[in-house]
Amino acid sequence: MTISMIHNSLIKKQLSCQELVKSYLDKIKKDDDKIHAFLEVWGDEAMAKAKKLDSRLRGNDSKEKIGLLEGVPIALKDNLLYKGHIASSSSKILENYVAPYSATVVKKLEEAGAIFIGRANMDEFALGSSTENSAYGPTRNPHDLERVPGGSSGGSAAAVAAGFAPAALGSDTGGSIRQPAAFCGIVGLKPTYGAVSRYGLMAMASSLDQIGPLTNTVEDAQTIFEIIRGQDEKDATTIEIKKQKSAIKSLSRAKLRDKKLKIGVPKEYFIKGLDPAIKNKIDRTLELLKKEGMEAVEVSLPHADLALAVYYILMPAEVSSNLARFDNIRYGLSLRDKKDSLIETYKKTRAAGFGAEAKRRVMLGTFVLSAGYYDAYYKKAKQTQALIRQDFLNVFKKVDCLITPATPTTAFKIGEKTIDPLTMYLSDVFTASVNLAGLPGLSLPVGQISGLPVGIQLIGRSFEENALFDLGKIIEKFYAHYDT
Amino acid sequence: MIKLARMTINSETIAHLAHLARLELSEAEKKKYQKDMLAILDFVASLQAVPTSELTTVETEQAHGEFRPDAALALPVEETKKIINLFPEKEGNLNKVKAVFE
Repeated sequence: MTISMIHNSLIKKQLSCQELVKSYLDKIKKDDDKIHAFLEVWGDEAMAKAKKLDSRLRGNDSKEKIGLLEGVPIALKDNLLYKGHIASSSSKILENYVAPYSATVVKKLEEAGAIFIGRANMDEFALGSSTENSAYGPTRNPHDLERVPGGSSGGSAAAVAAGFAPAALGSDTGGSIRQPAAFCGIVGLKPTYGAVSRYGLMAMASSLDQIGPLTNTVEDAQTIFEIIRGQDEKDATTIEIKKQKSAIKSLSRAKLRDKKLKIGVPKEYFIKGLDPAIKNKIDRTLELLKKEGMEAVEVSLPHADLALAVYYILMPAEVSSNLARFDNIRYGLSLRDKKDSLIETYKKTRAAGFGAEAKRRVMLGTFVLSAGYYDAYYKKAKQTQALIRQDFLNVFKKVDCLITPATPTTAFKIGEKTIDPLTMYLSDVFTASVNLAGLPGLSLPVGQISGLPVGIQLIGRSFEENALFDLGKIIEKFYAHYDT
Repeated sequence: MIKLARMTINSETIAHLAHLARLELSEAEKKKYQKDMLAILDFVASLQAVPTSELTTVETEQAHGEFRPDAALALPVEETKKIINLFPEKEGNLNKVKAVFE
């Protein structure tokens, strides 16, 4: 069910909220032991909230306005703080950490009446592209249980794809919403950097992270985005909506209405490793958009092939800083032997509490930031990031939106890419540059290849999420009517 | 620079980085991370050839939010209690830790 379907069913009294929530909880009970999307299901609490809403609906006679999100179950990625509930970032080091406050986005959704149904599995500290790095076991792709759902928001994506919740929140630093959305056949949005508050999100790479929705439809992603966005005094990197809106009024949306929207296809994204069947999907989508009166032109992002290298220097650097706080002092796992010095307690706790990928990235980040190497690696990467950003700015002078593949392949098998970390890192090849440039990216399903979902990615100008939604809805409608 | 990296990512470097990162690693882990890091650094080597200068800075179109006044804000007591409950070891309301200086 979509959010508006749920809303209509509730206000028309075709369905009670308790019946609705129970149906999701039953589905989870039936199927989640196979999929493992959730680390914890908050069943009793969800039913209690549903009961409260039902009382309000019963006594209402449609006099009071019931918000669009009231009674809608939502899954939360395990790195989002929800007061009074465990949030572990799928790590052993935070296994029993109970959040003392809620993230701003969680507060906003709660105020809108959403019902949080459980915390979703992820790669530990969001470090990964398959959810195989979870300290609590992998999540499986609902379309093929031998395959990964993608990552790091794999649990969130699987929960929506499996029908465990109509929507989920995830986070995206290099593709962690868009890639699992593509692998699971659903919609995923990474908002413009600064559009959504990161307060209460356990930070991975603070200059790249964004929280975003994973949903069944573009409209649902838009509904959730409009609620969670906005300036927050608790996150100094957020921008006032007025300033965001002034960008929206511009160019893209108006052009779309006048059918004058120009779409760019960056040639550097159509690389050797791209599955030809995925390229076909892009071509087909472009044909459709041309029929709708839009112009598609080839463009160039000359530094595109450097994006992954830049990402795998800048991101681990920030990760090594952000994970320094997990040190057995204020919270989390604490291994203290009487004879240990203070430093030994840090080393032992972190060794025991972090998984292999967390240690690897912390080591790499420490290296690129260390004296003697900082200039050659971190500084160089920062400068190259500027060139990548400039490429996008240049291209957006000629076109209004870019279309690219979301992933180089469909979902790979569990265990296929875990031996060599580099092969896993290559999954981010189409998505990471968008985070480096701070731009919005929307991943949406365009059918299947051999029974596995395929997604394409739309990239827009800063704060032009609305243009992505409008264009996304056109594409979505087309694929709903045609054979996959 | 890459030759430099290859020469210096030896077991001593790994031990040093592990200490900086406050990680205790087994011998097997040290070997694995050394191998992984060399591979990753080889991969990012392509950046060395990119012409950049001191003047290449990141242009941000965004304005930043205003800073709030530099004043201490009191947390609600209930939230403070929750935070104190998370301390691995405590004495009253104080977080108990090992001595920083021996």
